[in-house]
Amino acid sequence: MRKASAPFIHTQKNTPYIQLILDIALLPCCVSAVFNYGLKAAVNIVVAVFLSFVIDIFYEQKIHKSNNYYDLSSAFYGMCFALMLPPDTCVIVTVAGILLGKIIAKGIPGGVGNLFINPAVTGRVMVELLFPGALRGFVLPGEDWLSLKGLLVWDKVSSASEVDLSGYYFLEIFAGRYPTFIGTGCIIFIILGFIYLAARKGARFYAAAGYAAVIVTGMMIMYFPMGLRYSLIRLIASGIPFAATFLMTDPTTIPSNSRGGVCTGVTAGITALLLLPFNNTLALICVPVLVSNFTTVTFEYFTLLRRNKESREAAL
Amino acid sequence: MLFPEKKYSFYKDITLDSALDFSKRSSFVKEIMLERVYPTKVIIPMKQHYGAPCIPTVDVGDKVTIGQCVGMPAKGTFASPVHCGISGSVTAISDITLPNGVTCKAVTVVTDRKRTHHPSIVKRNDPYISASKVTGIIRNSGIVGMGGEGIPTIAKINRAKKAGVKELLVNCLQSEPYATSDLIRITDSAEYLIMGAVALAGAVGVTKINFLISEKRKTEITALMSAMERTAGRYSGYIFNIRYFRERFPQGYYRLVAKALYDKDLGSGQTLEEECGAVLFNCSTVYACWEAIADGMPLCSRVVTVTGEDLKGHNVLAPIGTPVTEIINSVNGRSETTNTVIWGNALTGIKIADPDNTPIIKTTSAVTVVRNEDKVRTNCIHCSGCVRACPMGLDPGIIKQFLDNRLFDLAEREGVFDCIACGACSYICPSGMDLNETIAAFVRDSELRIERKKPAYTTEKMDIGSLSLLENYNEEENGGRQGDDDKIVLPFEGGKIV
Amino acid sequence: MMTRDNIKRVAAEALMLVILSVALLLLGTWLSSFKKNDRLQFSYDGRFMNVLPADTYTEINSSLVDNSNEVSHVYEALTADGNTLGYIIDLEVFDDTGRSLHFLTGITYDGASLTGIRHIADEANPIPITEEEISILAASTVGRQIPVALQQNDQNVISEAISEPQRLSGLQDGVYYAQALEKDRNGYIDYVEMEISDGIIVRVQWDAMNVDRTTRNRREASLTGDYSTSGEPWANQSYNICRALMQLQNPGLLAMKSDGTTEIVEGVTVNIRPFVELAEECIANSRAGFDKDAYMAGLNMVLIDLFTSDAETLGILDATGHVVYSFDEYPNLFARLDEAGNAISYMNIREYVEEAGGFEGNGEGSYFPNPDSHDQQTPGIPDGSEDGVSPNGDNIITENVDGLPQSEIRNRIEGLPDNEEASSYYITAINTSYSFLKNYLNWVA
Repeated sequence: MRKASAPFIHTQKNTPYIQLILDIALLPCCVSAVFNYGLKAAVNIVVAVFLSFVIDIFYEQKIHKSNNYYDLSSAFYGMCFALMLPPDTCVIVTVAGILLGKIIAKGIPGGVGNLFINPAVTGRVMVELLFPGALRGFVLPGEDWLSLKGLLVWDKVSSASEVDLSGYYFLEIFAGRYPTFIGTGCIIFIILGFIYLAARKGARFYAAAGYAAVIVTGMMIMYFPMGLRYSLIRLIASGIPFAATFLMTDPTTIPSNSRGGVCTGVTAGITALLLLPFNNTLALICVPVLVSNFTTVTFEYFTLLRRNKESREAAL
Repeated sequence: MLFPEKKYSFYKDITLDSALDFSKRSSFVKEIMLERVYPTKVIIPMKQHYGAPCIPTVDVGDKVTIGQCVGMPAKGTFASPVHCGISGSVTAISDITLPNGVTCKAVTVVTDRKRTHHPSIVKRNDPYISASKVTGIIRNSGIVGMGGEGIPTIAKINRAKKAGVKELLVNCLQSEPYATSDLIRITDSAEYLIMGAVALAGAVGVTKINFLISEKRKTEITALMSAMERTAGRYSGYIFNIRYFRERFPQGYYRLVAKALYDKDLGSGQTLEEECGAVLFNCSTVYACWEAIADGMPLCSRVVTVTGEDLKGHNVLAPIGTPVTEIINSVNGRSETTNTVIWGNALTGIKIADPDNTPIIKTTSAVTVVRNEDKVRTNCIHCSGCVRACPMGLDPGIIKQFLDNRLFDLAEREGVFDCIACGACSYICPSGMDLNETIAAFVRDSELRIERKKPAYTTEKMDIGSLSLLENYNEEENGGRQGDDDKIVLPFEGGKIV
Repeated sequence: MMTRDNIKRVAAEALMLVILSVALLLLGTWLSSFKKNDRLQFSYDGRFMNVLPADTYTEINSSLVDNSNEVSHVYEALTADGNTLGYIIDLEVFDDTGRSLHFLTGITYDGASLTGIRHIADEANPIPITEEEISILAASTVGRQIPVALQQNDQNVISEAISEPQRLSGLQDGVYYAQALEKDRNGYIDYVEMEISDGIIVRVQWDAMNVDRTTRNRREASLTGDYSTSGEPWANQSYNICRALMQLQNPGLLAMKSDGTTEIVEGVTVNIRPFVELAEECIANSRAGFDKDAYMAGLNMVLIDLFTSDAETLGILDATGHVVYSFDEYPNLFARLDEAGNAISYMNIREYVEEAGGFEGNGEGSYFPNPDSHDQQTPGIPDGSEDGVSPNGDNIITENVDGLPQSEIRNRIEGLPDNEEASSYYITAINTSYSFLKNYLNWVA
C-alpha cells in the first residue's frame, strides 16, 4: 500500500522525551535515597540503571536487529527497581532482580513497547520471592553514610524488620527519616516528582487518581478508630504515594485514557486496601500494580473505544 | 471577561481537554501584511474543484488578460470555470498531475508584464442586485470552497436553498499550524467579509449570519467586531453573531462544526445543510464572492501562506496557477534545497516533488517548507495519544494494525472511512508511527479508485471568445427584469467598498 | 530527535530539581533532627523513668564503655538546666558458665546512691532469678549508697567503730600539722592541726586561710555569715568533725563517701575530704615524728628551693604564722617522676623534705592522695594485716568485694536466703556500675 507522507511536523513530546521526563521526575527520590542511605544506595541505583540499559540495548541489537535505540525507559525501570530496595541490599540481589524483571516482563512479551507488566515491579517481586531473607535490611537513615558493608557479600547485615512508625514525628515521616525502602518513603520528593511530571505533562494521572481516591477513602474508613494521624502516617509511609506517582502513571502498562485509567486505578486501590492489614510495604507497592497491569489489557480494550465495540469483540 | 459567550468545541468529553492548539505556532512578519506575487508564468489546471474538469477556452498562442476565462464546464457537467490571473500569452496546453493525484489539462500562460485587466472587469455602480444575479455572478466567477474542499460555491448555495437552511455560517476557524491565509482576510478586509456574507445570505435566503472564530484570535475578533459596528446600520433585517470556539485543530472541518454547534455526528453522506439547517462558507470564499460582486473580479488569485519551521510566515496574494517555486522565491524562503516543500499546510498537506512545475490552485491555502528530518521511531507505547487526538473518535492505532494486516473490513467497521486525514494522530504519536500516513492513504486510494471508474471526460477546446463570463450575467440582467420578490438590496455606494 | 535547546532546557530542569532536592533534604534533616532527639528522649524517658528520673538523658561515648565487657551503654541524666543528676548504666554480669543478667542501674552523681535498678530480661542464657526476688533485693538497695556487700552475721564496721574507739598504733606525741598545697575553688587553703598525747589524738583543729589576705579564715567567715554552707555554719561542722575524729581516733572510720560527705557524723554535711586527707597526713607525720615546726621548716625549704627566699621574706606569712601560699602553679614540684618524666605520684611536705635528705623519719610511705591511682588501696586506712590492729578482731575488712576494698563498701544488705548466687550477681551488677563510674569520673574513694 502506498503511504502518504503527511503530517510533516511531529510533536516534540516523543517517546524519548516522555521517558526522559519520567527519569527526571525520579531524580529527587534518587537524591534522597543517596542522601539518606549513603553510598550503598548509590551503588545499587547505578548498577540497576546501567544493567537495565545494557540488557535493553543488547536485546534490541541482537534480537530485534535494530540500532535506533532511544528508549530511556531502561533508566526509569532501573531506578524504580532500585528505589524499592531496602538500604542493606547486596548488589547480587539487584543484578538478579533486573535480569529477572527484564526477561519476564520485557524479553518474553517482545521487548520495548510490548510490555504489559511493569518490569521494575516484576523484578522486585521475583527477588523477594527468591531471597526472602535478604531483603529485610532496614536501617535508620543517615547512619554509616560511607559504609559499603554487605554490598558485595551475601550477608544479612541488619536484621531489623519493618519498624513501628508510631514513635516517629510527622516531620520525620515527611523527610523520609525513618527506616523504609530507599526511595519510596520520602513523600516530599515523590510530590516533587509529581509536580514535575504534572508541569511537563509527562504522565497522565487518571489511574493514579482512581487509585489514590480509593486508598484514601478506604484508609480513612478502616483506620477511623485509630485517628487521623495514624491514617496519614500509614498512607505516607506505605509506599502508596510512590506507586501512585511512578508506577500507576507508566504509559506502557497502565491505560492512559480517562475511563480505563480510573477503572485500573480503582482495581489497584481495592487490591491495596485488601492488603493493608498485612502491613507489608512491598506487597502494598507491588501487588496492586501487578494486578492492575494484568487488568490493563481488558480495561484499555473496552474503554478506549467510543464506538464499534463489535469490531473489537470480533477481533478478540 | 472580554468574551463571556459560550465556547464551542467538537470535543464534548468532560475529562481533561487535550486539544492540539497551534495558534502560537506562527511567527509572522507583521509589517508587510499582504505581499503580491507577479509570476512570470502561471499553470492553470482545468480541475481545481470537486466535480468534472473544465474544457480549455483558449489555444496556444492566444493573448489572455487578467480575469479572462480560460476554462469552462462542459455542457451538463458539474464544474466551475477557471480564469487567468495574469495577462500574457498561452504557451502550452498540456496534461498535468497535481500532487493530490488529479490529472487534467492545464493552460500555461507566460506573462507580458502588462497586468492588463479584461475590459469586463468593472466596479459595480448599481446598488441593487437580485439574488439570482448574485448566484449567477458566483457561478460564473468560478468560486469554489477555498478551505480545501473545492466544492463549487454555487452548488452549495443551491443545496442550501433546497434544504431550506435557517442560518449562514462563515468559517473563520483556521487552526492548522502556521497557516493564516484565511485570517488575514478578516484583519485586512472585514467589511468585504460582512458584505459578502450578506450577499450570500441573500442568495441563500437566510437572515441569520454567524461568524465562527477561535477565541484565541483576538486581533481578528476585534477587526470583525469593529467592522460589524461600522456597517451594522445598513443591514437591517440581518442578524449577525460571532460564535466563539475553543482553539483546537482541526475545528474548521464541517463535520466538526456540526458536532460543536449542533452536537450532531454527521455520517459521511450527510450534509450540514440537511441535518443542521445551516450552510458553511469559508471566509476566503465569502471574500471572493464579494470581490466578484463588487469589483467584477472572478476568482483568479488567492492568499497563500508561505511558511515553515525555518521561515518567518508570509501571506502573499498570488494568481491562481503560480508555480510554488515562484511563491517561495518571492519571500526568499527556501534557503536549503534539501527542505521539503509542501502543497498545503504542515499537517494535511502533500509533499511536492517538482515545485517548479506545480501550481497553486484555488484550494491551496498554504505552501509550507519544513526541514527534512527523520522522526524518532519506537514501538507503540500504548499511550493512546492518537485516540485522544482523533477528532472523529477513531482509534488510529488499532486501525493501522488492521490495515497493516490487510484486515480491511475490520478497519472499515472501526470507521476508517470517517478519517478526515487531519494528521493529528501522526502529529501526536510519541513513537513516530505512520498512522495518518497509512490510514489517509488507504482512504484516498479507495476514493480515487471509485472516481477513476467514472467515464472519461472530454478535453476538446470550447470556443467562447474572449470572455470573463461575468459579462453573460450583465447581459442576462439587462435582457429580462427579475421579479421583485427576488430582489435584495446591497449597500453599495457607487461601487466603492464601504 | 530533540533539539539542542530542548536538551539544554531539560538538563537545566534536571539540575534544578536535584539542587532543590538537596536543599529540601538538608532542611528536612535539620528540622527532623530536633524531632529525632525528642523521640530519643521520649524513648529514654520510657526506659529510665523508674531507674533515674531526669529531664534529659545523653548517652556517653567513652572508650571505657567500649572496652568494658559488662557495661554496654552509659547515659548521663541531667536536669533541665543541665546539671548532672546521675548516671544510668546498662550492663550485663556474667557467671563462669556464660549465663548472664542484664540490668539498668541508676546512680546519683553526688553520693553514689542507687536510685533504681531494672532487670532487662533479654539474656540469651539468664542466671535464674525471679522478678520478685529482684524487687526484694531492689527494695533493700535502692535509695542507699553503693557499693554494697552482702551482710555477714556479726559485722558492722561503723557502728562498732563508733561505740568502741580504737587507738592507732605508732603515734608519737606532739603537735602535728598539715596544710593543703593547693587552694580550693574559693581560694582557701585547708589546714589541720593535731595534738597527740600518750598516743591519743587529744586536739584537732580544721580551718582554712584564704590566699586573698583580706579574706578572713573560713571559720571566722562562716560565723560572720560571709561563708555559707548547707546545714550548720562551717565552723560548727568543723568542730563536729574534729570531735568525731577525737572520738573515733581514726580518720578512716569517718565513713567518707565517694563524694566526700559522711553520714555517720551528725551535723556535718560539707565535703570532709580535705579534712580526712590532712588528718591522715598529720597521723603519718606523727608516726614519722615530723612535728609542726619541722613541717613549717619544710615548707620554708620548699619556698627557698622555689624562690630562694623564705616565707617571711616573700611576705606570705600571716599573723598566726601560717604560710599562705598555693602551689597550684607548680604542679610538678611535688611530683615523683618516672624515667619518661611522667608524674607517677605526688609527695607531701614531709616526703619532699625526706627526698631532699632534710629529714630522716620512720615514715611508712606516701600518704599523699594520688588522684591517678584509685585502684590502690586507699591510703590512711589502717591495714589490719600489716599492723595487727583490726577494729573487730576479724579479717573481713581486708576482703575485696567485687574488686572494691571493704573500706569503700557503704552498705550491707541481706541477700536472698534461698538464692545466694543470684543475690551475689545482683550485688555484682551494682558494684560493677559503681566501679565503672569511679573509673569514669575519677572518683576518689
